[in-house]
Amino acid sequence: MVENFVKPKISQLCEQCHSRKAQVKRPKNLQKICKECFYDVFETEIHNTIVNNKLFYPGERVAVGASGGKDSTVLAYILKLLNERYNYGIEIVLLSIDEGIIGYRDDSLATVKRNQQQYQLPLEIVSYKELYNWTMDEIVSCAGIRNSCTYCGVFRRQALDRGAAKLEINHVVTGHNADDMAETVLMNLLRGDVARLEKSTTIMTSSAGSPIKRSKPFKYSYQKEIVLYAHYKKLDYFSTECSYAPEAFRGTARELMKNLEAIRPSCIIDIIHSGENLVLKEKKIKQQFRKTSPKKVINNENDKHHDNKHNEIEIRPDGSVSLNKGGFIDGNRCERCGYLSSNKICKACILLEGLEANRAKIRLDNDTSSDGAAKLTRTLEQLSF
Amino acid sequence: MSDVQICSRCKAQESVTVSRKEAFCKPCFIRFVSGKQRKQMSSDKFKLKFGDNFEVERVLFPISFGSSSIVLLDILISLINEQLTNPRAKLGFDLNILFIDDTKIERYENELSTLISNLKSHYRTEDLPIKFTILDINSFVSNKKLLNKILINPEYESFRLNEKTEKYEVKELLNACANRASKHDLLQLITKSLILDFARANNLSTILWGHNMTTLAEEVISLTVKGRGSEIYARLTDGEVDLDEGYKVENIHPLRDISKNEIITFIELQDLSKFTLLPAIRPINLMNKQKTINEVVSGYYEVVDHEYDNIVSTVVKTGTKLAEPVKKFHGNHCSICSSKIYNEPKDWLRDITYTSNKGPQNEIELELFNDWKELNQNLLKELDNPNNKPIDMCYGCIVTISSSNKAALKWPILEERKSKDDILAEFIIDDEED
Repeated sequence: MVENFVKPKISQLCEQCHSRKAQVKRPKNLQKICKECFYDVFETEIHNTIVNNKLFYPGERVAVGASGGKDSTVLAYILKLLNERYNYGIEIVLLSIDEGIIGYRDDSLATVKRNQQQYQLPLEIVSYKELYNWTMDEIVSCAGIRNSCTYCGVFRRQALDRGAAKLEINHVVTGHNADDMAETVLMNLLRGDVARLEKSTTIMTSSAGSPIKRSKPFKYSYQKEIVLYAHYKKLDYFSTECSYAPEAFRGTARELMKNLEAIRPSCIIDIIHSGENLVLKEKKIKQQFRKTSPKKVINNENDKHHDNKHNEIEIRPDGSVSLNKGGFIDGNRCERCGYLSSNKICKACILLEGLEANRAKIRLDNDTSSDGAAKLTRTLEQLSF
Repeated sequence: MSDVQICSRCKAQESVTVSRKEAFCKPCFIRFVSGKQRKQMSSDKFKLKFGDNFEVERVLFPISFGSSSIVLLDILISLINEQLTNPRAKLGFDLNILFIDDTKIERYENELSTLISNLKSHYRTEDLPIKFTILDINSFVSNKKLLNKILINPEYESFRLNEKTEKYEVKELLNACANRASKHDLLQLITKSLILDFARANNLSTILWGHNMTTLAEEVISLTVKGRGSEIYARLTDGEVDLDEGYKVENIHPLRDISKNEIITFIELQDLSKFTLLPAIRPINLMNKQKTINEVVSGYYEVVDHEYDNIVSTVVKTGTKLAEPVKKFHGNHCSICSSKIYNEPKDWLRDITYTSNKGPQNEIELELFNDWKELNQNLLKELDNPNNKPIDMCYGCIVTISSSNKAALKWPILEERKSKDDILAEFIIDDEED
């Protein structure tokens, strides 16, 4: 090996250690660095994020939301590595959700099962079928492909919490990376989602009513670096996109980000920096307006309503109801399933009710019509002449 | 739909355009757009004054000769003409128009001087109490004493180094930029700083910005992308801002409710296109990589606003709901763009970027390392120069400057905040008064 060694030119050297040939260009600051420095930088930056934000405490049990994709595979690998290297003293468990998408999720779950063996970590799989009695394939055949992400998103959030609760774990870490974070900041601005705007960049979210907190150790890690890391370390991950259409609007935001990134690769952390500095004005005027207007109505009509003022329930255009006029209160529970909800009935139960109402009354034996596009693709792939 | 539609406002004339699902005839449309401007400038200080006991509001209108600012000019002149018809009253405000002349840097298809003389004869500006100033963009670097070389070390600390410079122009300053996007960012900073200095030097207390709803929405996303999210609130909130101790300016965006399409219709109906300055480079002919951040965002709106209605107005509305991140301000101002620094950027960047390394691991690597050290002596010395003076820099400027050739960027930096005389002394005023 040493005999064949060709001395690199000075201009080809790693800009970090200046002693080895550069092989990777960091998107974050366009620095050209060598493989060794890349591993060092990538791992240490995640370690620093974990330590600076005090994500873990010794003895904590942590569930890694594992989908078998690149982000969660690298996350599981690196958490195990850092836990051993820096003695976090945490216990890591893999937690997977089986949405029931034939041809997509069954394959990616196989990857997770291999990861379980490779990293010697316990694995728990929670399926939509056992939790909600619906698979995503069934939901799509019933409600159509357009809303698939709405259902899947709402159900997955709950499923992860329920899976963690089952394992008696209070902390779920997910593989959301800097690109996802920046995309969310842009999306919230474009959609005017004021409620989520301030919170969109927080690294750890927890709710007073729920014992389960979530964190994102990859908040500042570029997707490109995660992929590179997985590639160089030859990690075993599943790289197919979900076969159901991605949310159309998110698609446009992603396209915008790609175009911006091509011009200025640092824009991803720039957007996150901006996101951390977005602060909302206090809503003083609006509250005054709300306080006075119901009174006027009460005075004009009868006084009976007066006592009931606090019991008034607002019905929102989407059919959900407000529980409390004083604004969002942390820790409310769904009346049906007991899951955390800001409304009387949680979003998942509302969606399920809609689905149940439309479930086919009669079902054919051996019916496969509800299988999604992924199944068909796989069948076609196996055909040969 | 039938071909002939009656204007839904006056119910008399044939409509010529449809906007916000409403059919308009020409006079009603012009009135509608002007009404939006009047709403934003409804304060008494712009209204007609009677008697002798009053102070005239001194207003600055920085014009770019883009469609939006030409529409605003047209509306403002008609407002002045209307106010002048009352013989007993006096004009409500004193209008100062300022053009930052960047024709030495940006190429335009048409000639600025012909455009201005056309404009003057069309509106008969000689008869109107309007002051028109053209300011060469190079006045930004005319005070050579202030020019400093800007350095940022790997630890994200920034320094300035005073170096004697003989001849220096904005064009050379921009040469340090890696691409059009950074060039545009710096030009925006320069233009804005000149406008504010001009306002201060001339005691102007209101600035009318020509942005329309679409360009404001473009600014919100572009500022976010450039790491300047904390500035959005200032860009979108109309009202008084303390520029410097005791010196206050009121910002107004009279066209903030008017969309780009409405601007285009207005230009067509009033036949104003001959007064707009046409950039020689059109974003549509560029590859994505050659575009500026603003151009990419503006292109995005063009595609998306048909499918997902009202994105532009949603973004502007969201922007106006933002406030200053007061808690993250620790009293420092950026030496480059003089905006407030929030969330100390060098600490933030240092926290998320690891810059150490294990160094050479064997003899070959050590040899390479020493070779590198020898070859880069000058660079290392430059960063260690005792004459380097530390400066504060905001996140947005660190981003813009990091992407440029750091060894070549020079910027005027003041030791202390500018006094009014300092500002006046800097200006090469290429005045054209009427």
